[in-house]
Amino acid sequence: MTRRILLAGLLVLFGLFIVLPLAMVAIEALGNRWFGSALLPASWTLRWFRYAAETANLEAVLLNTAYIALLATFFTLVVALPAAWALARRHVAFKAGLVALVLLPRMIPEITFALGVARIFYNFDLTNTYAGIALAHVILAAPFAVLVLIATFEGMDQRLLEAGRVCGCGPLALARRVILPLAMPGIIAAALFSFLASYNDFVLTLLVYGPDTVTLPVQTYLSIGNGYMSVAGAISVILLAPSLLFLLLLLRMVRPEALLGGMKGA
Amino acid sequence: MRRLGGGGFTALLLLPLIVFLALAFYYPLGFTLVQSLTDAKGHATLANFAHFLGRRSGWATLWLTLLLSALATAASLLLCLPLAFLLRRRFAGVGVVRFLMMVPITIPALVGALGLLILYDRTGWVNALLVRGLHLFASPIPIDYTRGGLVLFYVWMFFPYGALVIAAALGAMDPAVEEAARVCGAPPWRVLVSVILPLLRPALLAGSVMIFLQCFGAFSVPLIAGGNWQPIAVRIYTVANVFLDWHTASAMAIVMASIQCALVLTYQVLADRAARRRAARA
Amino acid sequence: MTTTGHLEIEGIAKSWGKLAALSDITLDIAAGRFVSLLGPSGCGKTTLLRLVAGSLAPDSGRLVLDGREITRLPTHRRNMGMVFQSFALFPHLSVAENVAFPLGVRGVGRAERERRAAEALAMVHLAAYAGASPRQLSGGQQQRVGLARAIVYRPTVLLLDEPLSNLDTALREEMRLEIGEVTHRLGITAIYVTHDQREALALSDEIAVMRAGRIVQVGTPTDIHRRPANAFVAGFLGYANALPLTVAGGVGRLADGTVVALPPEAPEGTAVAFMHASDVVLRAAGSDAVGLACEVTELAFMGERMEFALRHVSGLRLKAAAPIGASVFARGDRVTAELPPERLVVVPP
Repeated sequence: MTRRILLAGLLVLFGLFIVLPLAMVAIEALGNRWFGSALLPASWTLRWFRYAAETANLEAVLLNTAYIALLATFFTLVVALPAAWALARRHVAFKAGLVALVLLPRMIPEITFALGVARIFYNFDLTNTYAGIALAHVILAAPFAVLVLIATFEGMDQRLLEAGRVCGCGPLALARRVILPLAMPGIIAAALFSFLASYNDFVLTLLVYGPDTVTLPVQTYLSIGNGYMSVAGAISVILLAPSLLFLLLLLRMVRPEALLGGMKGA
Repeated sequence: MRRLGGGGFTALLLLPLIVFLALAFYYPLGFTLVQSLTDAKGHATLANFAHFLGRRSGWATLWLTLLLSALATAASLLLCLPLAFLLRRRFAGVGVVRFLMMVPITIPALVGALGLLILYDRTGWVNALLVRGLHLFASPIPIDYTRGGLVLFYVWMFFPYGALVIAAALGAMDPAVEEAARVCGAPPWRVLVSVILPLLRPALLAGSVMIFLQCFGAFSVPLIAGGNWQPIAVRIYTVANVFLDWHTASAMAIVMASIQCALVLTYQVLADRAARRRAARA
Repeated sequence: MTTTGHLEIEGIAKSWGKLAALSDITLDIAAGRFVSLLGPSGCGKTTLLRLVAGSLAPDSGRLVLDGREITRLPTHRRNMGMVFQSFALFPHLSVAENVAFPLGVRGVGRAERERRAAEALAMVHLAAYAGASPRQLSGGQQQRVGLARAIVYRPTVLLLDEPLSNLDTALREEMRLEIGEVTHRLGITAIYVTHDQREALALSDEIAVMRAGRIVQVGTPTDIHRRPANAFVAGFLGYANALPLTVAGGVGRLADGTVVALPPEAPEGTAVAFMHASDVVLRAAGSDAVGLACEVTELAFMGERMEFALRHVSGLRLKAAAPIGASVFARGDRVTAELPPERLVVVPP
């Protein structure tokens, strides 16, 4: 019995350790006049969201972020799908080396290549454009997507493809009627990962954004820098939502330990 | 499998990814390397590296980065191990623990950093507890903007990488092996020391490396919660964006990427050698 | 003869939430006896073994070993030995280190440890593999290491959890003989969990047949085989034919009224008569044989014998087997299936 109480106590401590920082963000975003050593704000309000909409152009920032994330997801799938298919199911010379080259962006710190990306994108007028920022995000998303898709395609049962051919499918019909439905969970997972990687990205965006392409993370940083903690909190709450939704969705499907393959080297 | 068109088609499938990475990643990376080795007029020089590594402040930055990463890794392991054992058990709420464990590495680092900054502020809840609740200190203690604080924040943000690896290894272990040790007469501590930990060693190493690398590359947390303690990632940004010294910043980025690659390679060699040793015995 | 190792299991019950895994299990295992727990998967036999080992705690009931209650004693202080289905060898230790492990935790000195480990390995014919890693060994060899590790410290009771299930068929018999030899040589009390009635019959002094968390019959292999207590036990012992009957005045009748001659001790009322396929005697229809009129629906060549699937006029299906050449029937042939009464086992349903 004492053991159970001890265990429950430790679990509660762990829960507080994880949750409290996020609770602070929420309180900051919803609190009115939270000063000094007061534990809780004097009252609750939604005015910081309104304030963020007025001063920080929240609506435009949110649209920028979503638009860039959708573009980045699309670009990622365009480059990752064919490559993953080739790497998973066709003979590729120097396959291990090629995979390592694809994964390198996730193996070195973001800042180390963000610097060069910023300079090059500037030279090609890609900074402060949706497509440019989305492309920068693809550098982060593509290795991950390729890994997930390779695993998906490798796991596909060869006999099903053969069955498809025997049933009279040509290459296109096979892709549409057999391969695509079979690979759909993996493709959706890769797309979600890519979307989130772009939506959440801060470091690369910080170096390639411009006045017309401020994203939620950058605006959060700018608001913190300006000392508007409550505005930063309000933006953070919006920034947080997709991640938490995604996590809930993910844990319904797999145990987190099973994701290790995709996380290695991240 | 049957080939639909052979090598040419394979190359065509790989082309978009290769072209993209070459232009958007390897070209900028190469550009950074060139920048690091040239001066403003384009002449070859090692001055940029000397500018960083030839000064005490440069070494101090590196030392700070490595120290914070090492301490945070050690502290994270102390959290990861019990957590991994906990996740093996079936109890109501294990799903909640899993969810909580994944939160720090799923959400944007910046939001976590902001929350940590508020919670551990002089007027935050933690100081309120320490001073007014437990009466441990007479006045609030500084946590934000200190090295100790950074270690704590790194733990919050990066321990899940280790916990995942260790939990996976522990989950893959045959529970009968532990049962065998107990039946053989080993008390719980002995089962842990003589059986579980030796079997977990590869996972402990891998988990430590994962956490360490994440700490080494940490940017958001030290950027807003580090104050004057600037690890190398933040320093690179400052040098490039505030001092506009892109050549030195490039040299620092190359140093940082090299250290990280060296760490990864060392780990790979170590892990491979251990695996080969195990295979040689098997 | 052994004087320790008398285990009394008294009224043990264990449930997982609402699901009762074991209910009111009572079993007295005398010192030095080899007892099998036999039953289908999910019957609770492994749960019972793990309770005895101390890996699980019962909800109620007691375990008494040589007069001392051990119900709440932690596993590592019970001095039992255990052989696992998955072998459960320590992969980071060599074969000899695996066998020496229990001696190490008991504080036995190095020289003594090595001597006794070598002795135990010799007993299972693995002396040559002392320095090898468990992974280098075949499944059968690994399980012999497991056996050596379980007996090296002379435990009071040896627990064996389906030790042969992960082995190839060819190795099973060899390993079974090894287990029998070692346990008899040591005179140790052994509890053997299995779902294979042949293993249980071959090895045991006593068999406890389990079903759905209860013990349904305890007896010697001969008892269990000759006089199964009910239809479940008989079915589990591998009888191919089961004939539902009504018995009145020593005469058995099938549902359609066909009379079946029964052995003298048959119970009255509804019953099931069991018979092995090889005990059914087939004769061509029209001969003067007395038995069930059947049609051959299917036949299979099984090497040294033929197997026949039969359908009685009442719809009842039977199986028969005969040595090659003994009788030649084809699909569709009408035959008479003789059921020698002395070979019928009649039990309550």
